[in-house]
Amino acid sequence: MIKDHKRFGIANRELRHINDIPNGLSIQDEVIFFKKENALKIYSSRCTHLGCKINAIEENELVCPCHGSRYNSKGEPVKGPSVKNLKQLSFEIDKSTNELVIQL
Amino acid sequence: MINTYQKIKKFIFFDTYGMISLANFLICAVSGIFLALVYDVNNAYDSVSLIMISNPMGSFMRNIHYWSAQFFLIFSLLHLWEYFRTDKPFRLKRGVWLRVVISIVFIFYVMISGFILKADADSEQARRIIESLIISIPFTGELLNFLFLGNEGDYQLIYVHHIATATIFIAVIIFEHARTIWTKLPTILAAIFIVAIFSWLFTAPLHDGLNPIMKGPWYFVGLQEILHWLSRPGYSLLFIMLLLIAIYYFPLIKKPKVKLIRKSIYILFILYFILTIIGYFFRGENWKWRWEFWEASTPFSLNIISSDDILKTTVTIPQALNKRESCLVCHDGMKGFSEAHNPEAIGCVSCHQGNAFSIDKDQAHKGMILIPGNLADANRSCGTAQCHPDISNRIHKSILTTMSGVISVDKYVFNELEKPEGLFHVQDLKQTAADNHLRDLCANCHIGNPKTELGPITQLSRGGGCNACHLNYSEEAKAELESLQKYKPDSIKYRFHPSLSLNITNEHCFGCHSRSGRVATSYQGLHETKFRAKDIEDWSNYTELEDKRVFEKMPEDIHHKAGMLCIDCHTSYETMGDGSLHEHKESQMQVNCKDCHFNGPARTILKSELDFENQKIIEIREYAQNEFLTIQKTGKALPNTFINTDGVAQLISKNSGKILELKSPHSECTRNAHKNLSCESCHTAWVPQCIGCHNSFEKETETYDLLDNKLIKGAWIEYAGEYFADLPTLGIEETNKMQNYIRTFAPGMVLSIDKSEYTNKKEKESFHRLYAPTSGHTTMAKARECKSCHNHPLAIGYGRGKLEYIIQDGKGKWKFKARFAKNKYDGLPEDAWIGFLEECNDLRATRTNMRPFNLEEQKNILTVGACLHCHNDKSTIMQKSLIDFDSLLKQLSEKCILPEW
Ligand code: FES
Repeated sequence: MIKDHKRFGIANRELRHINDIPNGLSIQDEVIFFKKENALKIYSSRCTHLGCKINAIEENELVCPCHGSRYNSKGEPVKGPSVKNLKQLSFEIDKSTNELVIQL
Repeated sequence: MINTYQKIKKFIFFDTYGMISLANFLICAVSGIFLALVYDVNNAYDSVSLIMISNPMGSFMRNIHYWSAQFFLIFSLLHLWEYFRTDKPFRLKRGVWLRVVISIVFIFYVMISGFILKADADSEQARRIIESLIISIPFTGELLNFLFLGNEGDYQLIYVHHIATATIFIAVIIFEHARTIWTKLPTILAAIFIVAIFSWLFTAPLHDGLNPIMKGPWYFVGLQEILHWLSRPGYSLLFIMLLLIAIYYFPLIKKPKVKLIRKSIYILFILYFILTIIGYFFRGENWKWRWEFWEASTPFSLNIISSDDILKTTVTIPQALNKRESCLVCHDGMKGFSEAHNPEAIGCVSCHQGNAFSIDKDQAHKGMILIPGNLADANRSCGTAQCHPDISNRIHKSILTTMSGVISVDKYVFNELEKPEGLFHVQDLKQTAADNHLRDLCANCHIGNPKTELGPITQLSRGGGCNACHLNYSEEAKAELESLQKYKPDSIKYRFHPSLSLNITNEHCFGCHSRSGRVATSYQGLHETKFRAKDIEDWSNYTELEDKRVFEKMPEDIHHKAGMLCIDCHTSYETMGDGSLHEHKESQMQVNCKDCHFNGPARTILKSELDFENQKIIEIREYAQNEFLTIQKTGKALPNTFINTDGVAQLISKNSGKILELKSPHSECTRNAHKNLSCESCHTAWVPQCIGCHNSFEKETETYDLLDNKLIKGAWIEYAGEYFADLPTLGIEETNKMQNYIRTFAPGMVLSIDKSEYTNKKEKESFHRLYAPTSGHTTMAKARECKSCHNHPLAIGYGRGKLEYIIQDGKGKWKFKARFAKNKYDGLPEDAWIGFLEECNDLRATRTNMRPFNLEEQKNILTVGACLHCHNDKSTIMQKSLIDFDSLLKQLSEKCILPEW
């Protein structure tokens, strides 16, 4: 389990600003972003059922490939075996570099 | 019969299960040693893929290792079953038996650790699951996890356990209970033979990191299905524990109960087997069912060794997106890609799929998508998590994909809806009369219509997913494609790939948008006629399109004249959608004339505040500017508009780089009287209009179903009346704020429909007179003249004809004589929107919030028209009237005669 914090990049670009994140749900490896207007939430992409990495978004729901748990954009389980919410991660913008720093 | 069965059985199970299992164990151990020579625990995935691509013998050895392991597992379990099956007295000592039972755990550990060590996406997920399961064991979970799996992301400990600890333990147990670690030579040879055949035919799996389907090893696929039902998956461990304890105590159980237990084990086994089959073959993407179960099969690798010669000429196996790809071994040196899609960066598989770990052509091309980018498979090509997932999510909601407005309006005129409203999707069309009408005439103009043939986007193209806009063929690529049609595909070494880029031309939009509202042709100054090429002698004023329609030349749009492209105004959010579903196109449209043509200070946004997509666009187009104009509706940037260093607003044409100055509107535009007029109302030079349309169904006529792309019987035939290129009609849009906004309209659905042959019932023909809001795309700098609205029957909605203001005996009266005959259904002239001075209460527009002028408004317009009857529109009085018409009305001279109604 990674307990460290990490700086993130999208498709070889570093995330420098909240605006770098696409609207709606998006998955970037270990984290999931949900951006609406200018509000951002970041979840861990670790499924709360058995820890698989969530890798798909379908109809605005996050889908875990391992046993089909589905979560809505608030990170709440809506279908499948999972019963716990996705872990919400805290983050901040590093003022000196303007990078997004996420607490994993 | 029984004899033959026995013979076959003897042939397959040539020795006892235990001995076959042992033989496979030995093969597995020896092949493992060979693999260990090339396996790199620090670079696990890469080293496995490298073996598969570049080392045919290594790959074969990996298959041997894999298959012997699977057989070892199967025969070990069968061997165990032998104990349960017979009623012979149990020969093992309790202690030995205990260790045998424990060794079952180790057998599975050795198997699953092998699965994990290939370090692909499946392995990573399997590891996470096992880790979570172990950690859920109370008290000792964390410790056990550390003992068996080690640190996350580190394969060292698992590797050591796999090749040493667990293997040695199993070997010891085998020796302890079998008293040998060797089998008869024929058994070994037979096992080698069978394993070799399997290895020759079926490649051991390796996940390519792109396929969204994740599966455990086959023996755990059933468990994976079970876990789907368990919200507290830790219980599955308890069950496994109980099972092991039961196995241990089984030999001690007295006879009568044995039968029952055997039966239950049989049933459990069969259930598990069924679950495995279901999970392995029928569980698809996103945990949904799939029926193309053959896709789950492992690919053949018959030629893997014979294609070795290709490797002799290859020095390196290219890497893309952190993985090896065999594709580039053959398809090297291809040119033509845009920078972002260079295969050196993203490989071939991320777009085209196929098998990245084989250099055999057939095997490598298995499951390949020849033309990626169609929306049906976008989530496996352009829209994968690493590439453009947000776009592939929202493009499905774009009105260019759904055709929602087209569908609701059509359903409304077919009386299948009460209002032309609601959200629809073209893929949901069924077989109602309207659905069939759409399938016949419209349903191919959506982005989801798949591109199925190679080649560039032309005037005849419809849809095509991402390719619809982003595909371009260079001349070389076109030439290569032509030679492909002449020669055998194998004889060509492809060198030129079409590009996928932001180089979107008007040609890309042309196919669909030269139809219906015909904005693409109008923009270029082309108006459709009913002529055929043979009718035209002098072509100076005409042109023929690729689909053989003949167009007449008309004034082009001023923006076209200035060299602007469709994409210079229309942004990515307007075309690919903004993530929301829209009922009608104007709700998805964002850009407005006033975003570029404004008075006063500019609304701008800084580069650092831009959204992800616009930032990317600016980066790719290499714009150096820092401040961009915004779209008022959304606050997002118009990424090709800037304020230059002199403070002047400019637009850069996206493909040519030509810089254009953005002009402020004329002062007349902003005066009181016309405040609620859209720019288009005055600045549209002409719009294509068509009147007198009739639709009827012909049962026996063959037609092409544009949605399903196949020939069907029974066609809706459209009989068009006449085509005109005239100034648009004006009408009202009632906006949310209860304000009335004047905009341009053209006949949209003025048509009669005869459904009787479709429904097989005698039905009355239905008729609708719906005008549609239109954006002419024929902008002219000069506004239309005052009289062209206030004194013009077509502008007000009466249709073509003579509208006269007659003053007689000191009284003024408006009179109208229509040019077209009355329609048999509603008694209005064929081209009218409303009757002369009629108050209309029914729905006359293709939107519920739009309508023709009501009586009051008509009177207001015509009152000004009456003034214009005498006063020149440039006269001081008329200019003054633009500021405050009502106060002028109070100061009328004696000569002024206002209309009476
Ligand atoms: S791990 Fe996600 S559903 Fe089981």
